[in-house]
Amino acid sequence: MLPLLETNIIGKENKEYYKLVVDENNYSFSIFKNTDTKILILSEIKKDATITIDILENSKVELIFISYGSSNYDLNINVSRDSSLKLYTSDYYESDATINKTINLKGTNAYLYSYEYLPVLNNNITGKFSLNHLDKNTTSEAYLYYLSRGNGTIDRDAISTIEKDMTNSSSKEVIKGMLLSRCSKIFAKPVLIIKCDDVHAEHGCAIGTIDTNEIYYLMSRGLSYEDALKIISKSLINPIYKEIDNEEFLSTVKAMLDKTIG
Amino acid sequence: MAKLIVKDLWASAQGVMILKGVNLEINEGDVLALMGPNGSGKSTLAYVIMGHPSYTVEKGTIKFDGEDITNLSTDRRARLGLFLAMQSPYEINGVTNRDFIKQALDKKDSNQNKLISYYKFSLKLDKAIADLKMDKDLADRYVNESFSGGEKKKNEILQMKMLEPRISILDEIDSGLDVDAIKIVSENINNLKSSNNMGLIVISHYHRLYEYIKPSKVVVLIDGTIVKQGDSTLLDYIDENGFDEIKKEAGIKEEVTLLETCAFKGDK
Repeated sequence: MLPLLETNIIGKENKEYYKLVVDENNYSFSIFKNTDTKILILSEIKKDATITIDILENSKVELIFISYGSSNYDLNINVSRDSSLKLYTSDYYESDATINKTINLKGTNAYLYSYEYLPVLNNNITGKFSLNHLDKNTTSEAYLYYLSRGNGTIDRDAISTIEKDMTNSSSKEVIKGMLLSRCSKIFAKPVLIIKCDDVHAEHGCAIGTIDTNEIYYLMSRGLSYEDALKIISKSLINPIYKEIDNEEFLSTVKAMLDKTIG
Repeated sequence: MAKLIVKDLWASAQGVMILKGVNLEINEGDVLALMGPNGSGKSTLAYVIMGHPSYTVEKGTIKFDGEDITNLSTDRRARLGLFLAMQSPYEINGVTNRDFIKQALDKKDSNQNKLISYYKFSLKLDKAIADLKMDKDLADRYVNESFSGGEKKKNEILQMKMLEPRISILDEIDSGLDVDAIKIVSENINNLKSSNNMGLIVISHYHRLYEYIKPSKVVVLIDGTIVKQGDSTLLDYIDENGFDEIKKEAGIKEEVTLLETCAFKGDK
């Protein structure tokens, strides 16, 4: 049984997915300790909101969190000791918004793997992706993929903080930005704030246009320029698609991506 | 019968003229061996025929099946039935071979209004993979990503088998292949040639490939110009004499001599 999302739930048990209609300011729920689960959430953000998820001790959670809508939101996730979280997120907005995601590794041996795919078309998305190492022996890996098309702008930094005395912690953050048109913009900084010794931290950031040789290769097999552009742009969401084992959920996400990328 | 005709083709890249009046003709069913020393313009010719945007056609025409394709986009050339197996195939992260080939095939077939079902496509792909003795999982791996040199070359031929072009250009398809793999790849190319009457332009430095894929015509490209043509006996001549004799016959001076002369003058 999944101990969360008491309102607006569609489906039951692990095989279905949850639809969260955000029309209040605060949502919070917990995943009980000693839980091993995979959760798919499709979230319609209708009102500025903060969504908080607490993952209690000794749990293993895979969370696929897809959002769409028109309002700002903060997603805060607290990972307790001896728990691991694999987090896959993607956001589909037609209007400007601020999206902040914060993951707090709150207990020793807490682990995070995060994959974010954020496409925009003619709108602006701002915000931060923050990772806070708040205990010893905590590990995080974050991969952020941004795509900007038309007059779209993405302005999002990834900030990883390893607090004082949180030794033996490890943090890795990678940002890749793809500009799909002349007027599109991406601003992103991978930031590491390290307040103690005996830690491992690395970061990287690359923003650019699509490799013309890749486009040429696809075109040499008969795909048009537009199709080649789409196939490369959409390729970055494949790691998320692979994790979605619900057909209805998958087709909804694909439809949203089609609307954004074309 | 489809025919590729390259007439007085001049092409440049970044302001440097590479092809200087190339004339070439190939019919469906023909095998043309394109020989020449490194840097003579063989790969450039292949890319220009296939419409690579890094090259500018300064003069001349490329006609395929009677249609002037000199200014046609790369994808339209491909859909007409031209194929280039590249010397260094590009990696496409996140796109599986299966999805890529299916989309390419759908594009080609939508031109001819005969879309292949996913089931039939999978059967055909499985057979092509088995024919080439490739690992089954290559179909579901990302295009050329983490492929060995040999796997990349086989993957080019896999795409060729699936797309069934009318004329293919094979740019050093044998480099990176071991002896057994050259044999397997050659068999597959010959089978497709026989069944579809495909025409081939084969670029290779090694005689071994031409033992498997027998050329009906051999042309030698040096310094962007075709300087000699002949039948397959020309391969033996090149094997014995290298390109030096042909350069002398064509009156082409060694670039190194010119550089030495300049350096000598500078010293004085």
